[in-house]
Amino acid sequence: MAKGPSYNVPFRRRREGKTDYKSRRALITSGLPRLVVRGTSKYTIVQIIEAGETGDRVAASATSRELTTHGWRGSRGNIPAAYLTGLLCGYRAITSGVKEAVLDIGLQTLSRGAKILAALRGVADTGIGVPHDQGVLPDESRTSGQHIADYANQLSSDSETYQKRFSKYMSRKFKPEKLPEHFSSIKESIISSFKKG
Amino acid sequence: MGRKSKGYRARTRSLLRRKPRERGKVGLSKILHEYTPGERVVITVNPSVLKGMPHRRYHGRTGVVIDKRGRAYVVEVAQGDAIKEIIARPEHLKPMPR
Repeated sequence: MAKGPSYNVPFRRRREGKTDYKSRRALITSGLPRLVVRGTSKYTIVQIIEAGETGDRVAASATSRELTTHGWRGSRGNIPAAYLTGLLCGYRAITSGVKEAVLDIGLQTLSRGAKILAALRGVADTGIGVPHDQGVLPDESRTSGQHIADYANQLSSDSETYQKRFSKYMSRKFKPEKLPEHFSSIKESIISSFKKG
Repeated sequence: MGRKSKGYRARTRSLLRRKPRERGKVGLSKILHEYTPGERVVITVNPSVLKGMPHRRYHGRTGVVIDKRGRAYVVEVAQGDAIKEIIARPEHLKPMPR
């Protein structure tokens, strides 16, 4: 509440509750570009952002929405999609000359093996140095979507719930049981597309 | 009459004080500004930042950036016949107006 002439109005994004200015300041003064990962319920967005005197500059960007053009047929909001988006952004960042970054999760809360950390794993696998603890990353089976395939197998006897839970997969005529193989083929195609060019 | 104070921050009661609306953290663009050696700068002490703070004597003086040392800059300031080397963080510097 304003109680006199010495009241300072907080920054707009503080008022909106969108930016943690304390962590933003700490990350920027580290001198490294920020690896910004934001998860929505349908997509994952990964960007590498360099801070400058006149404003931030996006060095590389990728969203899981683009994965469709790479042939991805699974959900674009799940852990494998987050990993692939991180991979895509990491390779783009390497081509624009980024070697190191620090993870910026904004106001999101982390837990072990979270979607954000799958994206971090994707970026780290391209060779960009991002400081992190190995133990918190989701393991190979989760980034490849094995847990989704297992769940689909488990539901296969109960066709009604199966239809409900995987309705988007059904409309795309894609079997969620085949997600791990599909994941590795898309991963290979992304890697080879950057190895050529 | 007591004895005259000779402390490092003596006679800074109003000099090292900011007006209520100017209080708070320094903007990031000031910290991110990269000074190149040879650039002329004005020393304006920001009392909110205690690290790398020049002596009150140099407030308002101009100097030449020589080097970067950690996060701070080495600035040469002429004082009479002598040339003084000041180590100041970018919060206490601003580019010389043209």
